[in-house]
Amino acid sequence: MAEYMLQTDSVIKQYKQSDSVITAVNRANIKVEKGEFVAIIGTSGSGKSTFLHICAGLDKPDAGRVIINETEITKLGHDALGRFRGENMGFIFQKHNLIPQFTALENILIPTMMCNKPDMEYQENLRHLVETLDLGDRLNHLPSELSGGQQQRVAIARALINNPDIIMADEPTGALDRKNADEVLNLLFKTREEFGMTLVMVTHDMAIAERADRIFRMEAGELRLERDYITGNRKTVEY
Amino acid sequence: MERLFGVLEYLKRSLTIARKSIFFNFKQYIYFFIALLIVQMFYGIMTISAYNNEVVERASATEVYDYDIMLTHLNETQYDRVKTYRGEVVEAAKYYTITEEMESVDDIGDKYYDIRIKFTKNDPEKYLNQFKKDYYNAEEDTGALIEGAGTDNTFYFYESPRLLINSNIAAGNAEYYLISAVLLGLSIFLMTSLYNIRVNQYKFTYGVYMTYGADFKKLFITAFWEMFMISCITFIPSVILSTVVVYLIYLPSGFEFTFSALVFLQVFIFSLIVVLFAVFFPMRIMAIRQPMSLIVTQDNSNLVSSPKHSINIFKKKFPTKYELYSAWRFRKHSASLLATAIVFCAFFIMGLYLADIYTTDLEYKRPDFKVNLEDAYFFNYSDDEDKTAKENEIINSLYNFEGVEAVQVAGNSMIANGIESHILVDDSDVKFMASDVIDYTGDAKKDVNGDALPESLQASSMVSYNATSVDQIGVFEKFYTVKGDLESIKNENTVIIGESISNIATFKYDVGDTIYIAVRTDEGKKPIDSKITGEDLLREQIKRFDYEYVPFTIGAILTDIPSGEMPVFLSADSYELITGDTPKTNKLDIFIDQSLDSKKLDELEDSIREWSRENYYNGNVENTYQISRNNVAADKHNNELYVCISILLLVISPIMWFFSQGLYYMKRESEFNILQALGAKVKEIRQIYVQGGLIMAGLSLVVSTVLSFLGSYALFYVYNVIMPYFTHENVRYAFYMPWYALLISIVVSVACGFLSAYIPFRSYYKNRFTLQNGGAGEYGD
Repeated sequence: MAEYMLQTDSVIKQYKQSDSVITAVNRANIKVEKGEFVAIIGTSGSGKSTFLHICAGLDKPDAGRVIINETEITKLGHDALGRFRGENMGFIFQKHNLIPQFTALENILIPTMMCNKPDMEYQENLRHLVETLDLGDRLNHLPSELSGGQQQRVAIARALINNPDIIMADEPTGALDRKNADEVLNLLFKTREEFGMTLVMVTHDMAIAERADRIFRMEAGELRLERDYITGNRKTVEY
Repeated sequence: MERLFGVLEYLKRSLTIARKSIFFNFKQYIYFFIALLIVQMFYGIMTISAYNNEVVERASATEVYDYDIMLTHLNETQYDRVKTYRGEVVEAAKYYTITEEMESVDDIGDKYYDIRIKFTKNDPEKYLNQFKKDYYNAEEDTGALIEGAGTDNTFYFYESPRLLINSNIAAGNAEYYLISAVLLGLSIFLMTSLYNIRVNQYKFTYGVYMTYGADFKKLFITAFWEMFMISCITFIPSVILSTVVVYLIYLPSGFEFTFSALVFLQVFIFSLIVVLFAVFFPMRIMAIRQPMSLIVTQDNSNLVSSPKHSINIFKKKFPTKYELYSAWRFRKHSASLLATAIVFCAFFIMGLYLADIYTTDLEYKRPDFKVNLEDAYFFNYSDDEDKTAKENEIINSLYNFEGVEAVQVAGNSMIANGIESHILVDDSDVKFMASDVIDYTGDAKKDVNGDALPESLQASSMVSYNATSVDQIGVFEKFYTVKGDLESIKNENTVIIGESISNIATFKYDVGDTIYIAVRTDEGKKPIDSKITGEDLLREQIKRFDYEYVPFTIGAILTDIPSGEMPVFLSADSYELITGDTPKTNKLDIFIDQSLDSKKLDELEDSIREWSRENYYNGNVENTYQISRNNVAADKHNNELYVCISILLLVISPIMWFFSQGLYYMKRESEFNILQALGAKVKEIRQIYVQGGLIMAGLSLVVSTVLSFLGSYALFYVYNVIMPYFTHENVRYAFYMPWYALLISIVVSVACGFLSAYIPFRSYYKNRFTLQNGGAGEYGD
């Protein structure tokens, strides 16, 4: 029986707007196996980012369950959820969201500080990440002194520094040009393979999604399996 | 060792993050530096002055008084026992020395002694107990027996301020703790408000922290280190500044200035508590928010105001209409800013009022000696003399002693409600919205003389009837502002009157007006249920009891006499008519010249005691040591301290204004950039800033005036109406609105309201083409 890193069960998220209610995520179910790479595609406003935020515990669903590595995070309190995120998940935003007053190195180390990791626990990982992501000569620079691609590479290193079990990436190359986007993605995939992590990525770029094990499509808040490269099922089927 | 390195590494990392945050956004954190400096100065000033107050208390008491207790009216046997240490010659018994003794002989030749005793060993209060144990039954303070005394064994015992040094210091310390607690509350309010503004503008950073594992504890600690680092930087300068301020305040007293190294520790602990509380609540609230909701706030500040109304924003009324919509859109920001920034202006006024209250309290006339003749009898008159006239003459002879300013016959007073009486006054003599006064609904149409009562009358039972005579009017003249002729008290049915109830002006009499005093004429009627009180009780009394109303003409008005119940001063006959009680002269309050030196003061005390013995058998003269209390209170300079703290409170207001408005306009910069991109001119953007400033200035004018009045009135009410219930003393603290201070407060509020909006325009103008990342609050500082 497969071990699931991420499972969701009828996740619903709604927003009130004046008198109407908009359902951003409508009974979304997904099961992601350990080490799997899943892409979620969809048009702007389809609810894919909202769903990813809920999966990462960054937003709260109105109904449904989210289970990460056998822990039901939707049941955790604020503080426990914060700690869980730090220990088990890495998140990459579309916009790098680096803290401007910290250098690249300090930004990378934020998760270690938030989780009180001692030096020796992350030093090896840091060395490896810096080397893989080619950040060696930019570590002491402020975000404003880095290019967009470099900023996003720092953001990837930040997401990976605590050696999380799962990475969630919300259009990580959405703000980059093609060349930079390819470079960053290659580095992300290379790093993921080396670390053997589960990756769930939201993207609207089909070329990127094609590299995933499975592709899901989000439409008007509803999540469907689009392609399954593992089983060879390339039809759009209801999951 | 490994653990130590771990702690050091943790400290290094925490302080590095804090240092980075502070110095990257130094322009914003500068407000925290100033605020924490002020907070530490609050406590520094209070602590250093507390040390100096202790010195003042000790020096004042020991310089003026060389004795701890005084025993008066000792008979020979009692005197001998005290003098000879109970006849014991053991050294241990000699823990006191007699510093002064005065012998007198009464009319039948018995000798009496007044002696002053100083405890020669440390801890006088301990030796006072020993003394009581050794010489008389400690359970009875006055009139107790001294072992082996003769038949006439009554004596009196007084404690001097020298003995009370420690308890007075303890009382001073209690006041210091109370004020420190209030300042602690204000400091926490200030720092929490500032920090709240900051975290609201920096949600993004906290959202990122939370994304990568921060829980409340981590957020709290991160925030705490920032504030802690600032407080460490401001700590030494604040103690130095506080020392200079207190030194300058105490300089005129001439006492040796005291500084204790403990101040550093105390100020440090105080600021630590403030910092802990200041970051606790904002971080607690932050920690329960969803990280995404915090992160996305970075991006939605670029929205142009009120999209529903934006279609017409560039028409003729732009930008006025636009900014009015904005004022409404950001009403929460404006309301919280007005509530926090201007409230400190009100605190400034209230602080000045407190300083004024201290001055009033210092100037309030309290008796320096109280002569109690209740258990005494007057013997110094011959059979052919009028006893009352002779006694009045003897009482007036007190004025012959150097230093006696006024002698007041006390104790002849009765509260109207106590004898189920009340007064009626014409409607026109009652102030608008007066309390403790009701419409007269009784059916009396004529007074006791058969003359018609005015048609519309008001009644009050919050009145006290006091007997007085023409001999007493000198006291009124000295202490109060008088309208009319005090000597008119000699005329039949004429009164001298106050015009306040609970020190709040209630009536607006003119000399020559008439008041009607109710005298109950039915004795047998059933009493009113004791649960009914106040105005309801008076209504019931008027409804159920029979009264005749005695008219009195107002001869003089004491406009500033302290009052719980409104005082009505009546001649002896009138007093007896109204109260059924004959006035007595068995309690005298003696007021003396406050500039008397200690030697003359001792001489005067001895003279008054001698006067008492020469004229009364068993009279008792109590020294209230009021001069000493007043001198100590004056040397403590509490009023100047309050003025200093008030000024510091005023300084807080601009900090709140500029910090809050600076961040607010920084957030709106991208909005203005977009407006410019849509066609708005720089001139119009400037108008937005100017109009925003004018709106805030207008609101602050109103709010600061209202809050200042409300704050002062609250203090006025507390001190005049509530405090007398606890202190049983009716000091009159006039309503005080220092116009110059109100003006300063309004000018500061209006100027800050305007400038805190206009000055950010300069920053915007410089960076107006920087659209990228603008408005996030954390970029482009």
